[in-house]
Amino acid sequence: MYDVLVVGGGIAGLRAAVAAKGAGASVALVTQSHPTRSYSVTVQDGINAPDSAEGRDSHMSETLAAGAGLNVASVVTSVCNEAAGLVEELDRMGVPFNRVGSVIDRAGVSGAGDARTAYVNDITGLAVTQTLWEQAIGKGVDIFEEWIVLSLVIENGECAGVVALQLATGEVEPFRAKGVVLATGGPRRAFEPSTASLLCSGSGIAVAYRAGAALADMEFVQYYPTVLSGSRLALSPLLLGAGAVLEDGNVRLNGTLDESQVEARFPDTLQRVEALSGVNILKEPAPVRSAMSRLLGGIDVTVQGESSLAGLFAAGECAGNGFHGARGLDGNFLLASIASGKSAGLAAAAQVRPFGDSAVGEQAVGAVRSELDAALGRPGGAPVAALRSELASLMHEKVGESRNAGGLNEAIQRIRAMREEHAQLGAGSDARDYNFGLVQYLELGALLDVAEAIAVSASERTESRGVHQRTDHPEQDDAQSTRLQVTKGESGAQVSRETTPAS
Amino acid sequence: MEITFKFQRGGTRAQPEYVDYQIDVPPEMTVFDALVAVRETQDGTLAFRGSCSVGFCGDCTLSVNGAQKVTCLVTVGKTQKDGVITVQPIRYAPVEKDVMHDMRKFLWDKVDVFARGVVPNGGHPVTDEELRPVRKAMRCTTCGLCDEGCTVIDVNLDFYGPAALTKLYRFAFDPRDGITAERLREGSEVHGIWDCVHCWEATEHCPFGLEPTHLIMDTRDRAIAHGIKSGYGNKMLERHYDAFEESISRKGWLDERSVALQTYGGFIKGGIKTLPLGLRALRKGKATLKPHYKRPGAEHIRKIFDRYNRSNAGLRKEKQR
Amino acid sequence: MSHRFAFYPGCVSKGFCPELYDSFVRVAAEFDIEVEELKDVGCSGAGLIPAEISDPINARTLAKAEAMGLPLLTICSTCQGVIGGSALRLTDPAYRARINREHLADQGLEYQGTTDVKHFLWALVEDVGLDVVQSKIKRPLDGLGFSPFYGCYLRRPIDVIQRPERKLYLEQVTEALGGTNVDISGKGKCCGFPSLTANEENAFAMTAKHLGEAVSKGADAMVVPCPLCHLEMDGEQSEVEKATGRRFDLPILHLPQVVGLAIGLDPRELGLSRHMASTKKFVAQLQPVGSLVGAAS
Ligand code: SF4
Ligand code: SF4
Ligand code: SF4
Ligand code: FES
Repeated sequence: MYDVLVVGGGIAGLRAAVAAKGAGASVALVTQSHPTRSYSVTVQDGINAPDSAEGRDSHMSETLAAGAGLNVASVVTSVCNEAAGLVEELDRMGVPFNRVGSVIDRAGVSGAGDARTAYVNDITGLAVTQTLWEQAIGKGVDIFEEWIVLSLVIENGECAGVVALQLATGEVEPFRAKGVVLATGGPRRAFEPSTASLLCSGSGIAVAYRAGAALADMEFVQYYPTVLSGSRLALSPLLLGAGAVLEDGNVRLNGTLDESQVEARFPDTLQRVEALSGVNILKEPAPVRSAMSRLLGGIDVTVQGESSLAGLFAAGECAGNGFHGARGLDGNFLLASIASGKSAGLAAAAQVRPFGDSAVGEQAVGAVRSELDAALGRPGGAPVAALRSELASLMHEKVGESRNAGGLNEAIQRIRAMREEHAQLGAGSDARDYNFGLVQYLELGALLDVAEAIAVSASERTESRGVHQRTDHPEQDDAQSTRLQVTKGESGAQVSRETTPAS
Repeated sequence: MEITFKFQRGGTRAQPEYVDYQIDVPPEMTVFDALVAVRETQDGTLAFRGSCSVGFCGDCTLSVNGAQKVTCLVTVGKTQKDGVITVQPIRYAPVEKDVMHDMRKFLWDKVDVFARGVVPNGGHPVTDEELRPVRKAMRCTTCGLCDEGCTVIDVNLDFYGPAALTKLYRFAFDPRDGITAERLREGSEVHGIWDCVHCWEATEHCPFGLEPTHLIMDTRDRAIAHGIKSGYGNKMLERHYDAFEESISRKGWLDERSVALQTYGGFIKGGIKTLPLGLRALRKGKATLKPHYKRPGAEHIRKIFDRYNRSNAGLRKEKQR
Repeated sequence: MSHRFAFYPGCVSKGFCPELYDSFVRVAAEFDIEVEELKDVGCSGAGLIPAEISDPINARTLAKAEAMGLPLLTICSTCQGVIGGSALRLTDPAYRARINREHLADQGLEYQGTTDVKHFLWALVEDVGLDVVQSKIKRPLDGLGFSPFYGCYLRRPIDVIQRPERKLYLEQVTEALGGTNVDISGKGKCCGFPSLTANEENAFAMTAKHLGEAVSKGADAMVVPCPLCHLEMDGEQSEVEKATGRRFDLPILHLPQVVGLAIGLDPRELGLSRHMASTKKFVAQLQPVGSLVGAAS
């Protein structure tokens, strides 16, 4: 039993755990991999955190402009105001931010009006993840590695813990807590091409959605323009900001930085690009393409991270608090994870609730166990993989960068049919230890739920705004300047429109 | 191209039991992606780790055709030999199932010891220059390939190993940390920095150029600057260092006889189990009793030592506190 | 053609391994290697002394060789690796300037960063040449198996050893002399010596591994280019036997000794009798000088 249980070992989850622990709560972190193996470590983008009042104003107004009227203004104000402080705080925890002299440097990322992005060479994600993990270890957060959360324990309509599967043994156990923070990342595996790691299954969104929590802004799926061809590596906006350009499908250095400067600032980019594509960026252009990189929406939460379910909080990419609106700015994504992680951790720790009844946890576990037992007996493997890759192409083609009513409907129908097919499938083997066939089957279930919510939401928004571009409704429609919520209904995802405009 | 993965499932490193899996993949696909494809479409019980597929999470380390690699950073085309890729666990790492290493035992339990976060010293503003070592160490993906190549881990899995000691370095050189001496003492415990034999294997094995052996050597230098020459009451080690230093700083050269005598001297009465080499050599007549004379120019060497001791006097005091 | 070097013998070759120094001097003369021994220089630091101290000491050594206009020759892998490492760091002009200013200027010295540091093994292959070495053979080592043992510093780090082909010179030399190469997996690993005071158990485990492999593969001797490896493999051999309960009985030869034997020098003159692990059996297997066996090859 813990005061706060955090699900997900990436930057948002770690930040939440460290914050909750710092506030005096007992904290457990349940994660599908070791924390420093999470998707977060691959992020080479920096953190927007202007250090002057004017800088803050321009940061805010650019964030709002990109969000095209759908940002939740109060969230933008609070996150932008906190940004510099959040970076200072990370620095004190041990992130070795690049400096000019002894002042944390701010770089310009491509497209930004101001140099406002704090960074650690080209390893900001790795450095922040490591630092937060070190803090979690130092402060005594209990970390459960290689556990997959499958459902929430719901007691009297409130969240009282989670049920999770241990990868190594196949055991299913309840984790009871007064507050649960989901920070499981986005559903990138539902799209191809994408920047997904194997862990980006959107499982937290699915788990919350199935338990009745509302989702928001699900139609906003952002693609990133410079992902190395044939790979999932995003060439960072810092590289483009510092001295590279995108030209005819290639990223090439533009000569602003000399070789030794590139080697000093982007050593890991050089190495990875060379290993993954054989291209030495110092000498030749690197072929890139655009690929799905993130869902801007997610579990509908307040600026404190509270979802529509009491006791359930969300942070990071699986949360949709309205910070980004209809399009996110480079440098704002890590910022959003750090800000939302910290607030959700603090809010979860501040709750005053009694622990739930252990019998309820046991019941929840029983239900999951019998579901899994059944799945272990059904065929799986290749047909599950085929469905997943069909889904990923379908989402890219019909629910990707360019959408229209026909395609969206087709996608929704097909996803619903796929869900039926999925129900007939299973793990493909009854092994309990390290059964990746089971993981793959469970992952597809989550992806289908989230994909449906995305497609339904996209079909409801009959206009073009931000990254949501409809060929059949190419214009922005001011009457639709309200956020969409998605909840799980009897016959699938149901969309409702917030009544008041977002900002 | 048609590839046969000979995948070790069971048996031992010397006598592996393989199961073959065929798959048709483009030669530029990474070995890791190809393995995932095999697992997803042919056998969901194949156990191996890995997640990011772009070389940052450090989780996909395996032995492929006898070479130890971060498998998402090597291609099928370059790895295969006659259409075959043999997949085995890395050396020295205990295995849980198939090629799923027990990374807790191999790595994490050791890294955790040194990972406890920065304890702020509330100190001065820190410059970019001062943070470079930290930034370098943070490039570590904990892929474990340095441990995999380590001479000492080969004979003793209890040795902390270069990956964990890289984490120690990260803190030992962080100017914002307030417990440097304490960390260095922890790192000087048995199986720590003093058990490294500076063979440079770790430096050679790190695929990202972190030079872990160099980092360990720098950490040792830092420990010495703090007056720490062994943390676990290995008086012999401390005396060895002192005798060595004294010999060189006084005579300019190493005088093994006096070093041996000072290092082991006090222990002979206590009945040590092996007669130290120096004394055995003397007995056998291999070494002569003729003492090393003070070298010409020894005073110049002395000066270098004096300068060093002066500039680190503050740190040594810190140790005594 | 003669090859001139400033010679840095290292202290072990003048202390516990005098047979290395003596055999080197004898062999060098045969190959027209002319050395001028540096006397007024300090110990390299052996990787034990912090770089902050050893870099200035080695800068001083390098500066003296530079002033003589000669490359520096070593006969100890450890000296080679440590001085080579300092030399590499001292290629950074700013660092070199600081060391010059703080430590060398008052002695009227200045290191310009040009001294090449070479181990005898490298000089033998690169300057003398294996053909010349072969031309002097008077007692081919045919029928004898040699396990090469480089230890750490002659194979790594790559930026210090500079040329990857140097990783294979040792077996090239023994094969050129007629010997058979008995490869062992740990030939480039640590011998164990550096761990002797810190963790003897680890040290002995390493030594036992190398010796055991060489013996089981049928080596008649092991060749080492480093006196510290010799102290471990030879000097500690009996202790390792005691600790592990295995018999090795493997003669450990310094590189110049092996070369010396092949060019017909007397085993005693080369100091083989001064070893701790007996070389008697090995010496008995040597051909008489002038033997023509294998000379045609
Ligand atoms: S240098 Fe030290 S830590 Fe590195 S491989 Fe060698 S013995 Fe192991
Ligand atoms: S130091 Fe290098 S080899 Fe060792 S774990 Fe880190 S990245 Fe891997
Ligand atoms: S490295 Fe060894 S042999 Fe070389 S000078 Fe130093 S102690 Fe002497
Ligand atoms: S899968 Fe992350 S490093 Fe290879």
